Amino acid sequence: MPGTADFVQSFRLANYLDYAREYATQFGRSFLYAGLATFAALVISFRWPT
Amino acid sequence: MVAPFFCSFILRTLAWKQILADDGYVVSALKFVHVLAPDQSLLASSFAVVAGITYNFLPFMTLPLYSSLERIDPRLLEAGYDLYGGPFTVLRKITFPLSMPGVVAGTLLTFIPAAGDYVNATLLGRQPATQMVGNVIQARFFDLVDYPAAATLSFILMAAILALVLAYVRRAGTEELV
Repeated sequence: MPGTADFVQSFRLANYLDYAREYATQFGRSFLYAGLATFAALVISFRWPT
Repeated sequence: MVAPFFCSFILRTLAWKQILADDGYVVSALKFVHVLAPDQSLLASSFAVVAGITYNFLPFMTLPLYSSLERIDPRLLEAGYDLYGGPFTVLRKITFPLSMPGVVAGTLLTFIPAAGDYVNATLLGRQPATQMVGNVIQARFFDLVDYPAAATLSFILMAAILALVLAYVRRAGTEELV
């Protein structure tokens, strides 16, 4: 297992954009699933105490 | 409602795997009434993942909302009904606006951990089409030992959630929560 000392900071900020583009589908799916689950939990919770 | 949550997160998710299994009662009943086709299944689908996330994070929504609803004066609801408001109108005009602090707190407490979750997608999704970004981070970190990529993806996720939360809180008008 490599340690943190095995990596060198290159300050290549374009990495963030590259990875955001590469995994845009998974990011979108995460927010979609989380949004749907939040909405479902909100609806269920409003019904629960009544 | 809180009782099942004394048990481990993983065990509860595995229980859902049994509930939604192809030879389980739920799928058999849905196939019997022709809601599901004979070759269809609930596991390894977006539905299973969203159902698992909803169940696992439900108390984070219910508890703040309950404490908010409990503080509403029942006389306000009675006044709404006296003014010929139906149950839906009373909910929309009185109950929901008065419970907004609980709604905002609950949605934040549910959405933030749900967006980074990977256990439900791993156990209930089990296919690339239901993979969330948490699965990618987990694979990069533990399977590929690619720490820089995992750190980059984690930072992007954190920044995106922060931006969404700030926009939501500004719109909901309860800046005191941040």
